[in-house]
Amino acid sequence: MSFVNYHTKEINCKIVYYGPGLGGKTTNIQYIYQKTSSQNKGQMITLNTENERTLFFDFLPLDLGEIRGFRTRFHLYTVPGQVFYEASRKLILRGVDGLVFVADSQVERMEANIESYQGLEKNLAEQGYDVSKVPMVMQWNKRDLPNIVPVEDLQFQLNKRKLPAFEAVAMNGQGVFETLKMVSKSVLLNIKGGLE
Amino acid sequence: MKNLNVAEKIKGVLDPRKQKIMARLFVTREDGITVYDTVQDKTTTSVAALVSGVWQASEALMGMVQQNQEVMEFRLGFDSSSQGIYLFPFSLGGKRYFLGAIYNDCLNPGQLKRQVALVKAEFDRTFGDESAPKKKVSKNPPREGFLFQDISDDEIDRLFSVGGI
Repeated sequence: MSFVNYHTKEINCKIVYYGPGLGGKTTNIQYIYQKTSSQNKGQMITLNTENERTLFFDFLPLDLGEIRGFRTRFHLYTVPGQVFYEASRKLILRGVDGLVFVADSQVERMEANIESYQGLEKNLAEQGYDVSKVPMVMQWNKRDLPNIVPVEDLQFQLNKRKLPAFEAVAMNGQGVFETLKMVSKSVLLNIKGGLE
Repeated sequence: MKNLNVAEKIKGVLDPRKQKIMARLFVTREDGITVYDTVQDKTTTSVAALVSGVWQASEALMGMVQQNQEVMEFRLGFDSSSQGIYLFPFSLGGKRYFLGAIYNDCLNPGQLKRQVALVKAEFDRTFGDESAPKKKVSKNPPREGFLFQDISDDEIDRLFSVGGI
């Protein structure tokens, strides 16, 4: 749940990048880290396996400017994508304010995309979230590769809710900030006022 | 006490005690957001995120072996004879928070842990009767009750441009 401190006029929000293994979740976060000025980012945490796969989560705190007088902090997390880390994914979803689903556009990864998306819906529902009310953005990553699924097919298979979607090549930054800005806007618009 | 916000309430308890406890003291929400930290630097938010992660992972592990234990009775430690980290959960306004201490070069970790445990007990005494604020049932239009009625793309662009993005 987002945290609004009315006394210090600060907003803290948690955004989670979710998706199948090797889809580019960590690459998104790394690109954001590289391109953000040092005074606006905190320490990036990566909890990796020996072969550089995400073991528990990546974490990047972004301390941005003000919006309508509120200082805004986004806490970006990735989940481990590999199938057997389901328990970790559930934990990281706790308290989530917004989601980016990073799909791998390659044909051979379509099944993994669908399985991951279904897992996301199940995990959110298990934790009491109304899936239709969680701000979410879809990202079709790896659009530079030759063996990719057409966007229309990705939309049909994975985006039945007609959520905002962006094509991306996270390795070179294409679509990375467009995705982040859209989910940030959705999250800010979803913050309830009045309570701490 | 009830009119103060959460951060102010916690500060009110910890500030008078922080000089006597030779450790970095912090309080985080269970979703990894810092509420109080005696050290304000680039590690502040990272500490909170890691604390939240390690607690939740430990809790999930305990759930596999012991179903009926009240989690608020647990504490979590990771330490050697002179340095380590120590965490206690406590409740405020119906939400769970973690009080933690990180220490090194400590001659008497047992005493330090006792001091932190006493702060936790003070939190329980001070905040124990504060239940979750009641949410109003609104019959107002859909955007009523949200912090922002609208945000333009230009405002989002300006927000991110501060970070050099």
